[in-house]
Amino acid sequence: MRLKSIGVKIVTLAIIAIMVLSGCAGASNNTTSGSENNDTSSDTASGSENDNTSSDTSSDESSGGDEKELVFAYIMSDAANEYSVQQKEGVEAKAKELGVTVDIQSPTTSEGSEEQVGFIETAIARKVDGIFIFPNSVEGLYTAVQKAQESGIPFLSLTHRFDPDKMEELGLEYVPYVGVNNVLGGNLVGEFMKENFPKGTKTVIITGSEGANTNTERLQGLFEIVGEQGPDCWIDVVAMQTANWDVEQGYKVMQNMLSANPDIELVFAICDTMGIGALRAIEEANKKEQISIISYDGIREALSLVEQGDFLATVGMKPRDEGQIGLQYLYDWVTKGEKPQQDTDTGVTVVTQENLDEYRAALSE
Amino acid sequence: MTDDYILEMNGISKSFYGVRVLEDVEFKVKPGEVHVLLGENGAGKSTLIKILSGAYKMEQGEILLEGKPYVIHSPREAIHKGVSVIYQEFNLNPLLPIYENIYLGKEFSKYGFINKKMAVKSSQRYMDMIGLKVSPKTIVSQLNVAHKQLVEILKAISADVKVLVLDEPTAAITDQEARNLFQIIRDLKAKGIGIIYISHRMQELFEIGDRCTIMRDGRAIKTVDLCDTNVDELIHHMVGRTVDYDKMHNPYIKPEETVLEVENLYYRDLLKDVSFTLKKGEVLGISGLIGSGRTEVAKCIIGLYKKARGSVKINGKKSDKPDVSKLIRKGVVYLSEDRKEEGLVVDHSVKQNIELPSLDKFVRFFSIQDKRIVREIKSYVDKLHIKLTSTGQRAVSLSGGNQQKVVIAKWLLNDASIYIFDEPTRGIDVGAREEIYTIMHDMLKQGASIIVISSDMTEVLKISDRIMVMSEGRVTGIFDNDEKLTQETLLYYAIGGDGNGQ
Amino acid sequence: MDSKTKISRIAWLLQNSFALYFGMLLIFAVFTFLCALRGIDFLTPTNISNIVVQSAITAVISIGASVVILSGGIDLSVGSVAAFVGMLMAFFVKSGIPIGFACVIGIMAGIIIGLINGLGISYAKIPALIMTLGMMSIARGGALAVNDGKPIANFPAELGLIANSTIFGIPIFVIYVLVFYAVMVMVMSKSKFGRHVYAIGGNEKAAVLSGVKVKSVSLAAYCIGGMFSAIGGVFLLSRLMYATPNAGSGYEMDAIASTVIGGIALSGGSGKLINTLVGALILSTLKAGLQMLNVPYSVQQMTTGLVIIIAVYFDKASERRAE
Repeated sequence: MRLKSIGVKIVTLAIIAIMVLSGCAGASNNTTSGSENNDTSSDTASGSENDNTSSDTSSDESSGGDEKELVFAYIMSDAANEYSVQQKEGVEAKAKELGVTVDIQSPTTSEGSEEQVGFIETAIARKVDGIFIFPNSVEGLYTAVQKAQESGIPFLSLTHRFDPDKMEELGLEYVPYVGVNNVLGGNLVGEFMKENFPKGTKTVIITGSEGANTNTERLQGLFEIVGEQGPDCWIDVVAMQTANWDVEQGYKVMQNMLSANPDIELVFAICDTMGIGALRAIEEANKKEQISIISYDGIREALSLVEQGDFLATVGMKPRDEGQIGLQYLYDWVTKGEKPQQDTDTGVTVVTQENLDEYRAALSE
Repeated sequence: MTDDYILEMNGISKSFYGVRVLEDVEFKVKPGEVHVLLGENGAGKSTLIKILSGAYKMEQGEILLEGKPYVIHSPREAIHKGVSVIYQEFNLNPLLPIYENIYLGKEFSKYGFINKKMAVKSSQRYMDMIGLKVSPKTIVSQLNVAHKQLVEILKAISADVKVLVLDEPTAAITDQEARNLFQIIRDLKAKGIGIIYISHRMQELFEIGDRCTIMRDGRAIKTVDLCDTNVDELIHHMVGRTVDYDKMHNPYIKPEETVLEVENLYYRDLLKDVSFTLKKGEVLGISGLIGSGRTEVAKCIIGLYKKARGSVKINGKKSDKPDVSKLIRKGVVYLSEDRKEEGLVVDHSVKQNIELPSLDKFVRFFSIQDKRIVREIKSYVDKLHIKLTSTGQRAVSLSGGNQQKVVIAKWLLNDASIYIFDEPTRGIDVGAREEIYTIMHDMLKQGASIIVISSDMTEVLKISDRIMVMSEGRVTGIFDNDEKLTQETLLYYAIGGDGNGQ
Repeated sequence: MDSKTKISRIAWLLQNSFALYFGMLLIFAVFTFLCALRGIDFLTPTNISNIVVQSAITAVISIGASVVILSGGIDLSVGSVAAFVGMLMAFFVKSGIPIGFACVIGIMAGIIIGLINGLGISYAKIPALIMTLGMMSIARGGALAVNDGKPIANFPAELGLIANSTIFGIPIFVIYVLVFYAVMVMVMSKSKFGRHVYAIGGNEKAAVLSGVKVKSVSLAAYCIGGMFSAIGGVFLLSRLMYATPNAGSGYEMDAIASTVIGGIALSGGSGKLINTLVGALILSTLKAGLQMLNVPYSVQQMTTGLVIIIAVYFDKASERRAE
């Protein structure tokens, strides 16, 4: 009897331990794709689990005799974020090419920085040769960056940028940045709208999680070009609702916005996943002819939809490039002592049917 | 003459929900004496003590402590004034060490929680006085029962106790530890502390007690000097005048047929070597004090306790693995003493409760025939005179007597044959009681066999054909219920039978 | 039953669920009014049909959650199981396994997960909250593992037929949901199993002493929970033609909310399954209405929470009167 209750306690503790390791699910989980930096959690496999399955990419060709093999730490934003996943694939490919080991970690939630801070500290303790990260939020990482820099470990950031002025204010060295500029992306969308749609087009915007940097920056960029919401704005924004980066919420939100505004002409979805949901709703309502969809992220499925003509355009970025360039820079920094420049822009493009092939070709390099 | 007493309780009366539980009780304790408080279950002892300790409020009466009026509003105040009660379930915090428990919650503690060293030192002194040879920093949960008891006593002593109440103190400790305890009690007596001692163990009472007050039916019957009396006299006072009752005549017994046979039943440390039989058509009463193991016997028979050892034969066939639903199918059912927690689903309707074990009988084409169920239930409602507005009425809204009838109806519908009633008329008014006895009688006519576990000896003597008495997990006697059987005899065996020395 | 008793019976039934149906109508009325203020037509057939469709998946998952809650338990893993089964089925379909077969595998997976939950809770005595919370994580991790965190798209068109083919203009999966409710309502009200579930939720000790096989009935309840979560996952996949590992998140809260709004007590033992459907509809109407009114998301969240509290408040009104 006592054994049984002890056994039960052990099992309970083990399950709790597994839970803690893999993280409890947040209340509202969302699909994230592209470079969303958001405040909602997604329940993903534990960092260490990820570590075992896909991460340790050691080279096949071992480095020369007395040369120590280089080890880098790479921290993702979210194991289910397709953008982050594609970025990781770029990193893995480059690691193979360079013959180095990259230890890949992923937080269980893209909300909050604690886990990423933890990974950075672990990497510092293990004395890796370099650290690079796709931060969920730069604000929470300043202390961790300071520790890395004090330990002399090269530290580089992808997709989200540590403002160099802020770094200077804090007395820290600048953190080299490889990635895109969301505001610029928003600008491009705005210009695309102005070029292709008459003034006053009835538009709805489906946003990601409120407060996410990605969300705010893209919207900021958009409104910089089309003008503040109001009578002078190029587009007539009749509704703006969040779908929290989730495809099903995108579907429902689109449905309800259509019910309220049957004469919508243009939809801008801040990420592809939500756009896909919106597309389904539009198809069900038989309004495909009437409504055009512009989306953002350039995930694989979105590119197919552009090809088929279901999406008018999406904003493509180069997550794989980011990963590769990031690792390359870090490698050069360590081996040759060349610290990379502050910013390297991997570029955003508005991808339409016209330039789709060109864009795809560029991606697979 | 109030100077002769350290505690005086005069004219104490109390009711619960209109039922009188204490009637004009007079109880006086001298300083330096061990005063035994004796009485059956339900006699009123614990109510009286709870009034003393501040857990209950009396309705009438006055209490004097050392000649001065004793008025308290909470147990804390009682302890503050020098009245400490040590119950069987201790009042210690198992997670804290001994010295913190001793100084727990004392407003006037000289040391508070800040001066740990002094608290430890002081506790050590007390512990040495008493002979408790462990470190004061020991966590209480690691102590055995006897040591926990000593810690409780120390709590009282360090609170300058004047009147100390011990409730069944030797129930869970060894003889050696009991002897140690008695020595401590004598030391306390020497200090002039008044000790109230509650126990049924006759040897002890005569060994440690000075005077004894017997309570019965909420009254204090008599106070005697223990050196002037003996066990039989005490039992006589506990039982009182034999109440006139007609034993119910039972013509339905078939003594050749044994429907239930229990042999060498053991269960943990609660049941030891219990054996008895039940004949078809008879009523077997099981008598005994609380804690004697009667309910455990019932729960072992119906298969609820998986760890029971021994054999249970139903109609000659041994039942193998204990499984409640299997035994129900064999016709053996248990009607719990705790109707609300175990007998009924109180939030459900009467119909839902009655139909539950018998649903198989009413299924046709995978669907339950509710109309048929309601019809049959209604016939039982009539037969048993259950007062309802509809079968959809929730069980919680019925009176105790009607609730019990619902439970009975449940098993009648199930065609059970062996019924084990546990305190069937507890909390039920007199009129309903008679109805239930009549119902039981009718059940016998239909071929049922009944076991009645009851603490009410009048009831047991009235309805049983044979009576089994249990004490502390053992069967101390099985008797035919003829005119010669008295309440005194039952009580004698309930207290320990021939194990009662003097 | 004489006619007088019959009438009072019906009156009692209505009165019990009165608050619920009244609430449903009230919400409709409120939104119709508010939308009209903005020049939007709320009560159109399309919109009603949208709301029904939007509630359908929550409704189906809520069946499982409700049965578990009625038995006195709780299942927090329902959303994650839906996501896992969706990913699993997507993976199999893309690997060439026939759609029907993949569907069956998916549902079996859900039942097995429910079985594991039940074993842990009924036999190993792990508290339901902990067991299903852990399972929620495990299933979520499983959903990620299927395709390394990446969504799966590009399915043969037939996959969409499961949910989207229409009969008289109604998407077929809505009809499925109604059929499921019809079946399960029958099971819960007219079968021995159903009564046993209510008994366990009402008073487990009394149920044991009345011969109810508590362990096996509880186990079955969790299997049902897993099954309907899986069915929800299949429908979600078919409707969106897109499988993501993060799908179904928040469903556990919606399922519990629907159950509770519908009047089933969280402690179990009472309440009608059919009302869960109404609860799901109320929830869905609320969300849709707020979105149509272009209300900020923060306010949407607060309103939803408030409605749940109010719904339960009214449900407990009879309990408060009894005190």
